[in-house]
Amino acid sequence: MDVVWVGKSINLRLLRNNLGQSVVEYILLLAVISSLGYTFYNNKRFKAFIKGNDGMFATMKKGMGYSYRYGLEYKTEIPIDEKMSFNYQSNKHDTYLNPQDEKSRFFAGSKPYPLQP
Amino acid sequence: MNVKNNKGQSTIEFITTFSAAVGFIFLFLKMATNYTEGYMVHHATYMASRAFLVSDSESQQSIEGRDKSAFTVASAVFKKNLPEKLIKNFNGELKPNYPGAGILAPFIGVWIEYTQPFSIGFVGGKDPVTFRSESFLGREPTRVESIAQVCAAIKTVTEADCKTEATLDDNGG
Repeated sequence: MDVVWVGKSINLRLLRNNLGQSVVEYILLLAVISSLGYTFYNNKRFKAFIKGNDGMFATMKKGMGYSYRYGLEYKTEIPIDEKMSFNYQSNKHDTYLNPQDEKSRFFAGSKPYPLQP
Repeated sequence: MNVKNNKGQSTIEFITTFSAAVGFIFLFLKMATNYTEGYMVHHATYMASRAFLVSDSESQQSIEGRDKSAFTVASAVFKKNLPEKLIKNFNGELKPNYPGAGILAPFIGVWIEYTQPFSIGFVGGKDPVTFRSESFLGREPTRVESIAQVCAAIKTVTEADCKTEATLDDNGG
């Protein structure tokens, strides 16, 4: 009987005040947020969005290098490795040749100047 | 015990959010410096290409020698416009596209490739970004080349070598 009485007195003493309530709430909330964050971080789509060759930062890096060299906006369908290793042996320089319609970006008169009378 | 109060809680929260925010600030700061440095490199490459276009050294008596001499002048112009310590850890080296070296004519000029870290914080990573600056203004024919072509033209008329004095007359035809 003595042992039970001591146990009850400890429990009552703990419940008679709100000491530790905010700590417990903080820990519970932290656990929920951490688990949510961990789940979000481990999500394949999120990882692909942030990391990897096609992730956000990788795309930004490719875009910086491409637009710096060619003066054009980078789009994900552009074959970046091929474009960045262009070695001047063909006319496939995007600043010079429009890759969409395979036409030069330079222009000239379609007809010769008329002769002076 | 220290855990019985909430002292330091706001500090910890501030540190965690502040470090993330600073990470993004450093990312955009580095991107801005990359763009700014890129403009400087573009300008220096363009100035070097101008020098490469017109340089014609009398000390060289071959077309190849004059082209190489022109590139030496272009490199000096590049360094003048982009001093070594202007960009931290700059690892680029100016390269020439000489005429007649298997390079298409529109791409005769100079170019440079260098790398810079993408970010200086933990946001974005420190993997390098490769930048290539190109300027293809071409290359004017050297006086050696002009002399050789004039000599070849004289030979077709006089059927003698160019050491023989010849007077050419333009009949206006």
